[in-house]
Amino acid sequence: MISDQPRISTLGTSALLFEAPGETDLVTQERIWTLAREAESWPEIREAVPGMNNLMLNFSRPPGSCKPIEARLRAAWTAAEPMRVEGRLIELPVVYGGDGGPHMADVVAHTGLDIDRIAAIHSAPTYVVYALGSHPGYCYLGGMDPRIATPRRKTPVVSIPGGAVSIGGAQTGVSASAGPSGWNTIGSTVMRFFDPALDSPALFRPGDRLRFKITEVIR
Amino acid sequence: MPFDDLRDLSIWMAEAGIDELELTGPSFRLRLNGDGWQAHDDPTGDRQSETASGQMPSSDVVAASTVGLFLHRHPLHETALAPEGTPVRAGQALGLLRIGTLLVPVPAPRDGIVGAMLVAHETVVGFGTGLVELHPRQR
Amino acid sequence: MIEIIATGALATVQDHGRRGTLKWGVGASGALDDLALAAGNILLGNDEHAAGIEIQIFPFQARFTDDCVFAITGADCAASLDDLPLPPWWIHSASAGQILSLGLPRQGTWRASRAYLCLAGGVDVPLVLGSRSTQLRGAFGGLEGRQLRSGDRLRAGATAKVSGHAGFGLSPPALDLPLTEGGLPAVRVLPAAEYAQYTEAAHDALWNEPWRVTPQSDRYGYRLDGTPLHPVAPIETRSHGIVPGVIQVPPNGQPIVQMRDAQPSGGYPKIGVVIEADLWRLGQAPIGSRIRFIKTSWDEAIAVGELNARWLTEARRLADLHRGRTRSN
Repeated sequence: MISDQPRISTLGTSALLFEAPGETDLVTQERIWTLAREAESWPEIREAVPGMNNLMLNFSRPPGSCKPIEARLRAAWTAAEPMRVEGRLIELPVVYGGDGGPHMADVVAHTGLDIDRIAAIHSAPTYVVYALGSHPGYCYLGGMDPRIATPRRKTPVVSIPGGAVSIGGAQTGVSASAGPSGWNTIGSTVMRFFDPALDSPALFRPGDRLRFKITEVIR
Repeated sequence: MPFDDLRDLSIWMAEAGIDELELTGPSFRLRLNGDGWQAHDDPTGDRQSETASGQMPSSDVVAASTVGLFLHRHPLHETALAPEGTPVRAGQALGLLRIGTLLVPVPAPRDGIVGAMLVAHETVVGFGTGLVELHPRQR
Repeated sequence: MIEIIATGALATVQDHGRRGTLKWGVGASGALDDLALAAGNILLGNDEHAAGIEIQIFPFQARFTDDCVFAITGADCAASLDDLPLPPWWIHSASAGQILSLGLPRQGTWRASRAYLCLAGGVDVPLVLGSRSTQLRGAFGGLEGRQLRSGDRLRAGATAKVSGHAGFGLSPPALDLPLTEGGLPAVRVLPAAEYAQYTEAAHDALWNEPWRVTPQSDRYGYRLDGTPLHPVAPIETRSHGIVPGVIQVPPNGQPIVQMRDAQPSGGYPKIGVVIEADLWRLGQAPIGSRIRFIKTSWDEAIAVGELNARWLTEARRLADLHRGRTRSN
């Protein structure tokens, strides 16, 4: 969404959705982290969940009117400074293409680039974990090169496996477990992203950094 | 046995304080008892000639144990719990009483055969309202 | 306390779901018909957080390995204990060795598709991240993070004294709180962020046409079949948090209503959100059935939630009163 004012909408009576204006970038995400920490201290809010330059605020109890909390949200956004996070750097080995990358051909067709080029462009950046979501332990990453952006699939796929490395629009991510997905899977990796027995069960946290390392490119 | 004589007999029993009387003959057996006893026309008397062996069943009236809405069937069902003529065991639900959203059964106090529903489906009833007849099982 | 003898796919242990775990990508899960689960717990005098078994595919059969007090709510599936038919939405007592059988849901006065088997004291499985609900995607919670299978044994949280009384029940909220539109079961919907970016024809179809629940509908999401919903111009949204009830519209225009096992975030455009207070209705809509969407307002949605809460409070008050009254007899 390109506009110069944040957009606030409702998700039924369960939550508010706050969307920051402008292009998706890291400074905005760092401000979203600050906004999340502030909003979680509010009594009406059970949990504040960052997305890609946006924030879902789940109500513990829906208010009679959203106007007061919307005003509070806009004021808090104006005041929000970018949160500096000292994250860890984790490297994931990836096999690009082949059986683990069933939609690589669609990315090739959409971008006009060949598989080696796509693998090189995808594995070049140091990605930042913007948010967790989608399924247990899954990270939304920022920093993908727009040259390999490919729209989400027309019909979501019923199941792709854990470890699947995928592109959805201008974003990329790694599946932490098998399940449905509307993204284009271009490769696979191996990693334990989630352990429910731990106090902090997800491997990654917002602010951590991630690099993909090419193990193999299967043409 | 002529109906008029039977009525006179039952009134005499009540006045005499006799709770139960059983009469048997070559082609009939009659049992009269005093539960729910009222000295007026016994409604089952009309059906005396229906029984093949000439027996004369008496009936109990099962009454409401609480104020509520009497239901012949469970709200999710389209058929009655205990249609007339159904044999039932003691404890089996003859109907339901609805109090707000709560449903409580109206259980058969003993084995028997379901008689007539005395109250229409979804009628408000009071404590003690007669709901359904229960005839003894044929032997 | 009970041993599963036979079950089709997708019987899972569920409570009212996990809270506070969205930050790790862990959705709430929980019973698709939260009112039915709550009613089962109310009949038994259980804590409101007690877990039950959600049964989606029939027939289902279990043996009680110990004396047990239980309740079955949700779809009326001609339950029987050994050969004895059990009234639905009722509390029952079973002796050790008795066999509980659930058949196909009966299409009586309410068409429903999921049944809830609740045990006195609740189904006793470990709490994981604060809940006993099964997290199928993450393979944790409930019983070992998976569907139930033949041979599985589940314990109840309380030892039960089998009483001789005839039990009691509750009238299902589907009958007490009916909601239809054009003769079809309906749910109320609030417009979502991208609503205005859809065509007039899409709005018209959303509110005025029936939507069929396709066979590709499950605890993750209900895929609906009907007039394709098209935006005025292509919409590409960023990944954002979503809640159960969100109606996503993928490029093929066929809406998907996110249900209790839905991802906690997604990127498809959203045209509306089924209100939380009506999700149980959708959760009971059988495959192949048709539903209608009713446009609602914030105030009305809040009021519906309060109505549900009052129904539950009243049911609990009457059940506790009756249980206390008959226990003293």
